[in-house]
Amino acid sequence: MFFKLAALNLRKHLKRTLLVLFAIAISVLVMVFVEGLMTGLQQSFFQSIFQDSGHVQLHKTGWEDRLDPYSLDYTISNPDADLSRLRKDPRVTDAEQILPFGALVLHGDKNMPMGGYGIQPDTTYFTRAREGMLQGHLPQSDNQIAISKRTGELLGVSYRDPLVVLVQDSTGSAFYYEYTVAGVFATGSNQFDTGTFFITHSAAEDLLYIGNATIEIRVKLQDPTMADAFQKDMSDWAAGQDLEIKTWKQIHGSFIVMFEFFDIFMIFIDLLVVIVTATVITNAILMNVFERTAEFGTLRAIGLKKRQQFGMIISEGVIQGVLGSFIGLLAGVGFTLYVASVGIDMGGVAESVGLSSTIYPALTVTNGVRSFGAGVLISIVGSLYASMVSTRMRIVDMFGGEH
Amino acid sequence: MAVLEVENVHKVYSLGKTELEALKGVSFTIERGDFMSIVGPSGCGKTTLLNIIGCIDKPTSGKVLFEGNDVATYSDNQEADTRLSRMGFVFQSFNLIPVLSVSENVEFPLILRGVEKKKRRGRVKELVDAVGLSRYSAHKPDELSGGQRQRVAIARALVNEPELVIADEPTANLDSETGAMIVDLMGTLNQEQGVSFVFSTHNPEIMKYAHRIIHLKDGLVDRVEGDG
Repeated sequence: MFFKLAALNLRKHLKRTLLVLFAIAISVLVMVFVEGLMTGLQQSFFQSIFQDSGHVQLHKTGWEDRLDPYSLDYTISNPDADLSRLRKDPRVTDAEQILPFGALVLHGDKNMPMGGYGIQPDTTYFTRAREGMLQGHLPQSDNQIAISKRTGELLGVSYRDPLVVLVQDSTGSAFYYEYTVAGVFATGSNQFDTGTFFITHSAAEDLLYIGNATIEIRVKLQDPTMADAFQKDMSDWAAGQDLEIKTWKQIHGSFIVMFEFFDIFMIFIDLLVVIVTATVITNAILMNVFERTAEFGTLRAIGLKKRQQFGMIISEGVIQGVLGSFIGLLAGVGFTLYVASVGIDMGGVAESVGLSSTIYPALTVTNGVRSFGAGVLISIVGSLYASMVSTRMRIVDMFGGEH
Repeated sequence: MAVLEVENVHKVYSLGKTELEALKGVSFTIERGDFMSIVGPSGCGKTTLLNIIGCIDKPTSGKVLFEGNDVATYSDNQEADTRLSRMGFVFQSFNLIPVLSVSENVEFPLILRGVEKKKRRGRVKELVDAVGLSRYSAHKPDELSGGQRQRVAIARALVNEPELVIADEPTANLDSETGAMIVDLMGTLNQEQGVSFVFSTHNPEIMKYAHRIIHLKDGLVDRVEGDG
């Protein structure tokens, strides 16, 4: 009967009930979206780190302190043996050589200074470029090049057109080679798209005239948390090979610190959302209860116990909390999925902290359950407060203090 | 035997820095089967007195003995149990639960007492029939006239077979003819069911139905009329 009475009361005072439901639903929607945004940012950040940098990187000793970012003075000669040694370690899932270099890319009378990457045809890195391929593919043979759509627009080059890459090779001489555009990609990052192209690793070796060598070895482990132990175990071997070994934390240290600050900032935003939500919901429930003070007074006068009154108010809170949170969850999931499908363009700000310029909120079951639970819990706490205030009132005062 | 004894009851309200003495030492007794009216002008303390009798308010001093027990010693739950099982209330503004039907309003105190469903339904039907509202048992209060609503309130007050029904100005919101019908109904139920009734009014036409009349004036019993 109490539950029925609560349900009937909610239906009877429909406008007020809808207001409370709206407050709860909007609050849960905001919580779902903020949680989704935070998760999306985290996923984007760690995906950038792990997918595009690996968990561990090896370079020639001294590479870290080079003045020219594309210096060819720190190449790893005959990397096959090193790669083979690394791949034997059971913790290693992938070890791959990458050859970054500076170049001038030319077509007709137009040219662009860019960073080139010599990569394996079956590379597992540069996910954004691989997944953002609009035409063709990453280079599979030594005469192929992959550029971004934006680079193509700037240089006036299309898919399958020839494109010249000019470099200063390891001897200090200028050297160029003509490639065919075999892949056009768009990553959503303007900085990446206008600054990066790909040729095969062997093509880069030839172009740069470095023989069988590379600049960087990227290693993926079974779990990123193994990186510190792996570094420690391999440090003696690496030193013997005249190599430096760095973990993802060391490579992206400043970004990680920045991201941790950002994480704390987002927790504050989350907390703020919860406080605003709690205030709005509690206020709406308090209004709902206090408008019926005389009714509760009557019920108390005819024998309703305080704990029963408490139960009635809580029942209404639970119904409103569950219903409002469910509506909010559905709306929040819908809204977040929509935003996730189109993305939020954060521009250069996101790129400067190691993220893609377009952020895609991500939904997880935990986030949904947490937001729904928070909505219900806040409604119950709000109802508890309203119940406590209401049951403390004297019956005569509930009638309006007639004497 | 007395159902209720009121002994030298005082009630003082603090209104900021001033104090208002609503009752200044009221004493009387309600016997089993009484049909008593408390009358007096507005502000004389009728509602305060009925609230104290009904365990809704506490006296500042003095005693209220319900069936020989001092209600001042009751806990909140005992007071609620007494109001639920031993007393019935009828209010000036009917105070029905708007979202419940006539039957459900009458049934509600039985639910609070934990009476089983079958017994509840039988008792509710009996009472709704007794107040002449069988046709309206599924109606909501806002679909009824004032007189009909007050009859629902009377049925609700009687449903737990109380010793005492307290009615605060039960006819104040009704026209004189309907008011007379309501008091007549209360009188009939008093005769048929042996329930004690105490009701307040300032309407001379209504007070004449009472067997005993207590006149309150300025917080004191001015005089008592009737066979008590």
